[in-house]
Amino acid sequence: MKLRALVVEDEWAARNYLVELLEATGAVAIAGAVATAEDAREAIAAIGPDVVFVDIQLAGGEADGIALVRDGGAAAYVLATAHPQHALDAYQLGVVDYLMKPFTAERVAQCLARVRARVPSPAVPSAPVRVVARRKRALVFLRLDEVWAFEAADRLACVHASRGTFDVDLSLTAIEASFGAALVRVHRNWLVNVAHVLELEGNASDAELLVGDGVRVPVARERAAAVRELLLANTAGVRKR
Amino acid sequence: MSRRGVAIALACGVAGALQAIHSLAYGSLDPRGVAFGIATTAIELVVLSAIYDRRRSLVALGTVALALSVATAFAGASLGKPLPVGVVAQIGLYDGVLALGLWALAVAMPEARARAAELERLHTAAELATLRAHVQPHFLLNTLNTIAALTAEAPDDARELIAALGDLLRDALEDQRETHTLAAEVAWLRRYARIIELRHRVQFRWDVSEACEHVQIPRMLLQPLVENAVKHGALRCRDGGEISVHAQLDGARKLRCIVEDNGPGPQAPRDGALGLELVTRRLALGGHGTFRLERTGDRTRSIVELEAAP
Repeated sequence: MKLRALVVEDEWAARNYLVELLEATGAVAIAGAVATAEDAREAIAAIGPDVVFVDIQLAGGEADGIALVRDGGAAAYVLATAHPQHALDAYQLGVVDYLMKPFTAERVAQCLARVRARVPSPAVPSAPVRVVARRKRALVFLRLDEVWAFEAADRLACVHASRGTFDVDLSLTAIEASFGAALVRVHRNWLVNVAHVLELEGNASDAELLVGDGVRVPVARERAAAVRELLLANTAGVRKR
Repeated sequence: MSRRGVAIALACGVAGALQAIHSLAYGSLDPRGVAFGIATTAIELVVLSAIYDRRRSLVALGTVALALSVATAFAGASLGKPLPVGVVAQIGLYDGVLALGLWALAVAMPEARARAAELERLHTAAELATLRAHVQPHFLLNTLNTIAALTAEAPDDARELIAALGDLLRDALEDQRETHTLAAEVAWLRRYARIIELRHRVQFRWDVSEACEHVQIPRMLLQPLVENAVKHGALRCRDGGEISVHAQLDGARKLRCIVEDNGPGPQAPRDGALGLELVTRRLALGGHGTFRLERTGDRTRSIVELEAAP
């Protein structure tokens, strides 16, 4: 059973990187990735993750990460940081491990082994992982089947869903790593939930998808054939060319 | 001994020598001698007060010495045992010179030495702060982590980060003069800013007028202002922080630098305050600039004004 993890890191690149490394181990399902201690508190309350990877020095604060650990709410905490300057505080608070920056696949694997030893079986049987998104200061939790598509936006992404469009604190690559199977990369800037594709328009050079309730998604020329193939798999009525 | 101390001692010596020459040349009763003595003291005062930036304590002391000599002369005359006026005046003048000399030795020179030591200490502290900003383990390791993260997703950004970090490290190893040009300061800040931009959702704007690029400023004077605007301003903005750096000449002699951010504004004392304190102290001790932090609308502005050497 996979550990449900929440990543709390203020730097966008570091956050995406850690999500990708955690996903690559195959032992973790990312339950959310947020940038501030405030969002983390809300996400922990809503998701109840097995393990929280938290950066000590979150943007604007001095040692917000330590305060977050002190507040509790998750089964285990790992401090992801550049410098173990709060080691004593952390061990007194029962932090499972330090994950040192720069991160590597090996360090992440060793760290997860320690977390596993500490949290033998996940506290909650793996509930369907939800997508944590933001609208201004409020967090929004979406089931994957509600999601129509993810669109790259200013290094991070936004999610188009039946309830609206929200910001996501992850890059498309990290999202793809987390929800890979259900999503298809149809364009450098777009990931689409195949279940919600309604129409495929145009030819290979300017193909476009109609997804959900009217979101138009461009299909990259070099991906058009593969996307068409995928959409036609498990369908009847259109003859394959 | 500091340069100012030497100047004071020399000025006193010259004044004393002039008075000795005058005594020999004219004799104590000659009214021209008195006039010469008074003129000597006046010159002494002008020179010394100019050296000491018109310090009130020195002018007051000189005035008292002058008044004392005149008063002694009149007092002597009115007591019925008149000393020759010129002699009394000379006694007063020598008193004045002696007092000035003592003042220089007892007050001005130790003060100047203390100021020099304080400047030296602050210079060292600023150097350390600079070094820390470059190679502070946190800054360095976090930047390395970002580079690792970007190698797959945005290799061009990763290369740019490596170059910027390399430049900062090189700069840290090069000479550490006390001042450099505003252009050099801005070049350094731009590299630092680029690293911040690549790591966070922060955007910098630069508006540095060409006319002030040659102005000499204390090395890394503006760095704490930018770091403060990043840490306590722009990074607290959810939807992307903005920082702008302006520099322009106000008239021919005054340089004004403004670092502005759109963060939620100054909060309770924090570790950034130490950096700002350093800026204030360096400017005050250099004796040629001021620093203030102000909040206008939704912007926080750090403003440094300093005299631009012609």
